[in-house]
Amino acid sequence: MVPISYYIMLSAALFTLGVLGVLIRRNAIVVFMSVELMLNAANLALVAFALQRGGIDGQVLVFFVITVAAAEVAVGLALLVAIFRNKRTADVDEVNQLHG
Amino acid sequence: MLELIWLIPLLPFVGFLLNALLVGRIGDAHTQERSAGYVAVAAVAAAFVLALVAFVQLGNLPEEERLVNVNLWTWINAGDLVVPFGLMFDPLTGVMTLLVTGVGTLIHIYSIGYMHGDSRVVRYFAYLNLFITMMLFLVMANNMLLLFLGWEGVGLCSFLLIGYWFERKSASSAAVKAFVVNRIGDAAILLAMMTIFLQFGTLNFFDMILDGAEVIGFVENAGAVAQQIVSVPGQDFRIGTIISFLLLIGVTGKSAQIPLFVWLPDAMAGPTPVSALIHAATMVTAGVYLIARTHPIFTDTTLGLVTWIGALTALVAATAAVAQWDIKRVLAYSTVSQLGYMVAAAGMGIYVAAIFHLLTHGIFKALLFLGSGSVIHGTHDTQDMRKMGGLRTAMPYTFVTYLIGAAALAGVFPLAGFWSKDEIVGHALTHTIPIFIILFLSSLLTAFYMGRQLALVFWGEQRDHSYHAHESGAVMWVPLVILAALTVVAGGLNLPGSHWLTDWLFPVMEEEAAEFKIVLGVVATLAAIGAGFGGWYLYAVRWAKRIKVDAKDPLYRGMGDIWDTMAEAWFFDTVYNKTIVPGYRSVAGFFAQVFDPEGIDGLVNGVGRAFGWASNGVRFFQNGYVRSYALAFFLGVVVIVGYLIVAL
Amino acid sequence: MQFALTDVPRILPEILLLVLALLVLGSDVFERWANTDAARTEQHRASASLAALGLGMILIIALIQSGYVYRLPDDAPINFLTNIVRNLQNGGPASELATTPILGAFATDDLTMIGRLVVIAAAFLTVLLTYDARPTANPGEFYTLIIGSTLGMCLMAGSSELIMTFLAIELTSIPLYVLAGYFRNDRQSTEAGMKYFLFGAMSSGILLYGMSLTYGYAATAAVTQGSTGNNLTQFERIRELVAQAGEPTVLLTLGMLFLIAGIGYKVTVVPFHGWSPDVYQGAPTPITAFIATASKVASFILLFRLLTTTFPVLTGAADVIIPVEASTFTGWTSLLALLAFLTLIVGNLAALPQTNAKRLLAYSSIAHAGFLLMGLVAWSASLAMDREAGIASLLYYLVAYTVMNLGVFGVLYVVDQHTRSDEISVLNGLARRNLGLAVLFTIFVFSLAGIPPLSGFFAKFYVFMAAWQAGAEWLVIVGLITTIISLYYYLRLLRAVFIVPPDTDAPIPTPRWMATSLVLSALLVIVLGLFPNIILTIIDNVQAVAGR
Repeated sequence: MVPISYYIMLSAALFTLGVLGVLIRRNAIVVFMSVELMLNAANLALVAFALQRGGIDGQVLVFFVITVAAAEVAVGLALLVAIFRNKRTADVDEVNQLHG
Repeated sequence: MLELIWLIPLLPFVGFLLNALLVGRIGDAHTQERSAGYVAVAAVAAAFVLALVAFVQLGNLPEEERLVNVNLWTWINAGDLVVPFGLMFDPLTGVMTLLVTGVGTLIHIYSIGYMHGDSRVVRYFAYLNLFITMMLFLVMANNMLLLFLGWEGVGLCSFLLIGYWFERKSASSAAVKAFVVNRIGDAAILLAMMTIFLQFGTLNFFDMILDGAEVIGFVENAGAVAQQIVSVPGQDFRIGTIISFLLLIGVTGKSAQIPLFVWLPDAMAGPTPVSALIHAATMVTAGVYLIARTHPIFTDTTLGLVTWIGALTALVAATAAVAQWDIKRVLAYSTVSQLGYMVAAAGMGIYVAAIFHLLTHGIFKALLFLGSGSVIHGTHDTQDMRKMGGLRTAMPYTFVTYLIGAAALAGVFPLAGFWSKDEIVGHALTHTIPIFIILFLSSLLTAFYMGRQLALVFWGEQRDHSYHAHESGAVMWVPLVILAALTVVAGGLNLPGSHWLTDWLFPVMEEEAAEFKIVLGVVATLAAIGAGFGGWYLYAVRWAKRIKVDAKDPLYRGMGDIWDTMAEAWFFDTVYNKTIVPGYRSVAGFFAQVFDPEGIDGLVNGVGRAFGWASNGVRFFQNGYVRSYALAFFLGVVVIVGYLIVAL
Repeated sequence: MQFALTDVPRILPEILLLVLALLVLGSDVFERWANTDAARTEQHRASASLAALGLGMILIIALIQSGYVYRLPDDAPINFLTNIVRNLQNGGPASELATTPILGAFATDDLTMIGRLVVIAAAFLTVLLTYDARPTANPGEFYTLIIGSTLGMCLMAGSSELIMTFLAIELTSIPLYVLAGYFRNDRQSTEAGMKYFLFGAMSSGILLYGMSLTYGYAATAAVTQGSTGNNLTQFERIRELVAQAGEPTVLLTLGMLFLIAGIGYKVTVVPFHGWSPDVYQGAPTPITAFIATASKVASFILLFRLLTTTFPVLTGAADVIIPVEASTFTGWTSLLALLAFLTLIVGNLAALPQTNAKRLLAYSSIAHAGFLLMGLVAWSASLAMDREAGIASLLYYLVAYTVMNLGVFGVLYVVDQHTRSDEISVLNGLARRNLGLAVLFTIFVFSLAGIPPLSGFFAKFYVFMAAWQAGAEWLVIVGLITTIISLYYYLRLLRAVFIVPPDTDAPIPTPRWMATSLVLSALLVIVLGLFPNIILTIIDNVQAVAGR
């Protein structure tokens, strides 16, 4: 069996990648994908811990997360479409009318 | 009857509600103005009558029973913190209530004439009634929290009334200034309340029965606890010192003492009756009342500080009053100065003298302010004394009453101000010689600036002929005459020999009557008359020709910069404007920028370059705002995690 | 642990909210084709009145169930009415059942009940505000989203388990993203929706990561202790495991930190607050009011329950921010004290130069989060009594905060309906254009500024007192100083209302139901200030729960 710490390290790396993606990328869709990466990093850790323990509660949480993430992305894309119709861009940096 | 004392603050409140909700909706502007005035006067006058009845009944009780607590409901009951919404009536509250409602009634009547024709007069009377309500809460509260309600409430009304003529720019900024400066003091009062609660477990002043259970009061049990010592790192303090020091800060705000007195002269932007009621007779004396009410908690350390603050304020404000041209600003600084006397008296431990001076000052300063209002009214809104002159023929009633008020303020025998001020100055002689010298000097200055003012306003020739001066109507001069009469007799409250007030307040203050020093009395009167005459002589005779509209004061020639320093009240305001205000502004601006997108942008621009090269997609200077927020978020997390790693 | 039939009344408010949401959504189906203005208004009002009525009824049912207003005596005569009340109250917080959470996941104690009542009341007042507004597109969906979000908040208030927590937060947030961007053709609104969404999604990532770490700690501890059972996501269970394991590890501390950050964004704690000024400014005003109040209330209750039940080991002390020795991390109260400090400073100072009233109030609401945190910080007190004062002050503050913010945003909404702007300058001369509205506004603003006898004053006073007793004197002093600063920008609003002359004297009308909502809020602000005992006695019940 692969030691649990390997999973955790992979999960941490994925999470960091996700965070960096959110911070660096400007295309809204790519930012969504980076958020997904963050969520899935957490999922990986949850599954790994559940596996180590032999329980299922962690895995149940993962299923819920996957479902919720799908709903979330649907809303996000709808908002993106609304923005796109106004501004003709999917660049999150262009969305900067409100500030101060 | 004494259990009905809650009616006293309720009546003005009903007047406020009527004026705020009903009167504005009936009839034409004329009817509205008349009914607003009548409602307001009736409400306050009724409260005065009730207060008088309650006062007499209190006097009929045996001395040791002269403390009535009326708890309307349990205001707060949260764990240890039990605070009733309760009023009290004892000798001190009694005299304060009479002063507030009595002078209040006269000023309400006067306002009917003074505010005649103003477009928002209904609102004016509503505010005025609300003020009386709040002031009554302040002096009748039987616990700190309710007192604080009144304390904030009067501040609020003062804010509304200073800014009443909001078309004038100075009025609205003066209003904001008054409120903000007062808020500094209020914060200290809040801290004091917390400390009191932590140390005593109560906010009530005196022991009483609440919901069938005994609850203790902190004033009654102050003695032992106040002397306990707590250690703040590096220094030991008595608990009483901490609490009373915090209270003192609050007092310097509300009662306009150094260093927070700067708001009061600006507050003169409000209508003159307001200056008379709020900024001379009642609200500003709240600080003195607070010290008197909670005096057992004051330790010698704080009392020394209180004395010095009071005395220095008296001197600084008196010098400032000498160098003013605005008729109301003279009186404003004079008020600050007289409040200094009261505070100094409280600091020297002669609370009765402080209250005595509070009462007499309330009467004669109201008289002076109303007189100045009459002058302003009769000269069509002129306030610069250089434009006046020779008004004694045009305004006989105003002149005579003003003369009496001025003489009382200067401390001329046998008017009210003589007795009350003499008690304070006389005690200072036995207390600390420097304090005595400061106070005596200030009283000379007081006489001098009043002489100067009388000369400038009432003597000589009218220097500006753009208006036709006339006497005000009876509704205005009758209150003046009443107040003048009171000014003559009010000294009788605590005449040496009878000292009625000392006896009356004995259950609260437990203080012996002061000894009257006849030599000092004679010297003081002679000095006051001399200085007053000097002021009058210089400005009415010697330099009469040199006073012209927009000219410098004749004294300016000899004194130059010293005169400017005095005119600007020793530059307190300027220092605040140069140090605190810009600092405050720049800090605010800094935060608005750093923590807000543009500022975060600046931050991100630096970091963004590193990220930009790495990601090859982000162009320089083009950072999105959402990502900036995200960066702040993650930086926050990273910093905390980093701290954890270091700490563990 | 099984789900029993007796558990149904315990979650009755939630069930009813779900039913109502479906009803409102369904009602829209029959009124799709509204092409004229009149028809659109009618359609809007139909949905609004259904939602308002429903929320009002649920509020009443929840009130009866809570037993705070009237508690059925045990020897009451048995008839139809008393049967209903008894059955309701058997599911309420005072019954035996309420001592254990349903399936370990959803507590129905007093804390939940208070949260529910505040949240449902806030939703009710918000819906009332929108009744007379210009019609929105697809009103049925609009109100369904509000109700759905309310349901999520109720679940948040009662959640006592990680999966439930995650689902409740998402159920709250997703409708709010849509609502913030509801005006699809309005650039500011879509921008607000987008920003809220991006920030929210990212925060839920953090939150989930925190959960995985916490769960990981529990799982590891369970393996070493050889315990079985699939209940490692329950707050109670995690606490037991931590207690048995003795020393908390870095893993657990990190997990807690991420959880705080993930929920911290919802309560707008600096530095997790970036989204809120933009979203508050851009979102439709009633939605701003709803986000600012209900969502924050639910999040604070969740944060409180999570921290006190799961991490009592890591409580720490609030009087030390910089640990004396490098090896001591003093726990979440010291962390929250530090965050409260930042929040107070940033919120109050950044509000000063604002020119947009909604944005100014957004910063004011951030600042209030700082005061609210002080109530949580008080949990570090050593005496149980002082800790209870902390939670009582927090809950009182939440109630006061909710009513005054609903009111102040409501007034802005009324003005906005007429002038189509929410700059401070449109408030100019409001006293001349609509005196009643100006008076209401003054009441709310003074309450926000903490002036007695309004409820905002007592809330601040009580929170300061609690934090002071808990040894966070430095924080109280910062709080007092920032209160003075805050007065400056609140007075700017009032200066506009009373002092600056308006461009036009044309009166601003206040439609009936908007006025009702505002007057209700104002009454609550005054009454709760004069008689804070009304809620304090209710809050006393919570202390028994929180004191566990």
